[in-house]
Amino acid sequence: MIYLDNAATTLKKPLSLYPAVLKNTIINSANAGRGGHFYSMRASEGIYETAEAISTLFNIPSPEQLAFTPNATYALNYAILGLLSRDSHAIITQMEHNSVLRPIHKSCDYTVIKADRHGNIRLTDIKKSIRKNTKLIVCTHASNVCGTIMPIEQIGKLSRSHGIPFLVDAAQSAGSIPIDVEKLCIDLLAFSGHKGLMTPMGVGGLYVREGIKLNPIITGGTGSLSQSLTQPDFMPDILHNGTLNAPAIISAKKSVDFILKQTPQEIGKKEHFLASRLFENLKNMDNVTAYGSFEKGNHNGTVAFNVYDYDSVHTSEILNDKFKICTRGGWHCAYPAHQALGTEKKGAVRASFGFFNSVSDVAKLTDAIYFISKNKSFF
Amino acid sequence: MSDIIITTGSITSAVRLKKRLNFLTHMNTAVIHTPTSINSGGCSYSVKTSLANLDLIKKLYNENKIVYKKIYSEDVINGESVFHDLS
Repeated sequence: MIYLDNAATTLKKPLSLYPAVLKNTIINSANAGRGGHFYSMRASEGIYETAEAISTLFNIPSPEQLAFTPNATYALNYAILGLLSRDSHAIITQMEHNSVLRPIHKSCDYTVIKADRHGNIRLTDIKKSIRKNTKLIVCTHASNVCGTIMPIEQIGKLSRSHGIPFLVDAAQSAGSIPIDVEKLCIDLLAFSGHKGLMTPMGVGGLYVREGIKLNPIITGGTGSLSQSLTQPDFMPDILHNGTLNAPAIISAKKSVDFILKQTPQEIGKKEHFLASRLFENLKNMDNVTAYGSFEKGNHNGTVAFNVYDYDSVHTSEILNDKFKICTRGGWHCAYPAHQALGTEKKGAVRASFGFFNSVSDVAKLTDAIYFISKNKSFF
Repeated sequence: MSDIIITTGSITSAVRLKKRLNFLTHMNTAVIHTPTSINSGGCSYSVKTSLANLDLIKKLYNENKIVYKKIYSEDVINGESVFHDLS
């Protein structure tokens, strides 16, 4: 099988991760931050070391400002629901995932910045949408549908100049696009581990800049201030409710170390190259439409495409069944993004490259799409 | 020589303090569950080290190189721990 669904989760991980998961499941399954025994302390120190490595990766000033969550969705919900109230206004883009859209929709009044047919937005539209009660600007770093990379640094500077917290959804960029929270003026950064960071599942996180106060939406045991009926108000305990996934988080350091060694620049460069090559192949193919900002060059390793006006789910199914290639059809939990691309009726097929994919995978997918486009009998 | 206990707010802060002290001074330290008689508000974590390091720790604190809540000395009298605030 050829795996091209890295935007959903990376299947292949760094080799150093696998023995670490086994080892940490055996020796680090104690409850971190609960009690003072040897195993608990060792797990706590292991978790801290992963927080340190991630802080290095994103230039987070202090690991204490980073909370681990089960995934990016939890991190985004903690940030959005923790900052907004009914009388707030928020700004999001049309390219957001449901993990941003849904918590925003249930929280407050909001403005959606329209994207063009390649997934690009305009900074001026954000600027014009700022109101007196705008309490949050949220933007995905890269579209999970077509891979278009957003102008995060410019949005960050704009947000900072207006004193509005800026939340970045880095689910599609962490590990493959350099992220410096200081340089990019990011106040809150939500990320998943199991995608570009190549960690085990069950690892995600939220960075919260010092000084930003969240209302905790989940409360419970934190291993601190136990005599109080209210949640600790300091990071990371305010978000560290219940037992952390210590074996996965501690093992995740192996993945982050691998990324720090390879560097996000180089990983992103490789994924960008593979996606560009596929896009070029598809662009010259009759009856095939590819989407995204490839002409401008601001895209990651994801390509969305359709063959004729075929059902994207069915095309993806044929790629799986007949050609042993894993892609994803449908709307990718981001329907408004599909409206921007013009694929709202049938969705699109998404091929997303990871660090362990090769040029040969591009060639095999290109051949398969060509074959499908020439054989209507498939449908 | 008796020990001192440097209290912090959370396990993360305690581990960070331990690592900072090890990085800055190579002093022998350990993270411990804060004894109930000196914690404030419930469970927390602290760093334990020798009393001989007290002046150096206060100096690092005054230079904003480390963060903690309080420092206690720990003596064992008649089999029981007795703590004195040295902050």
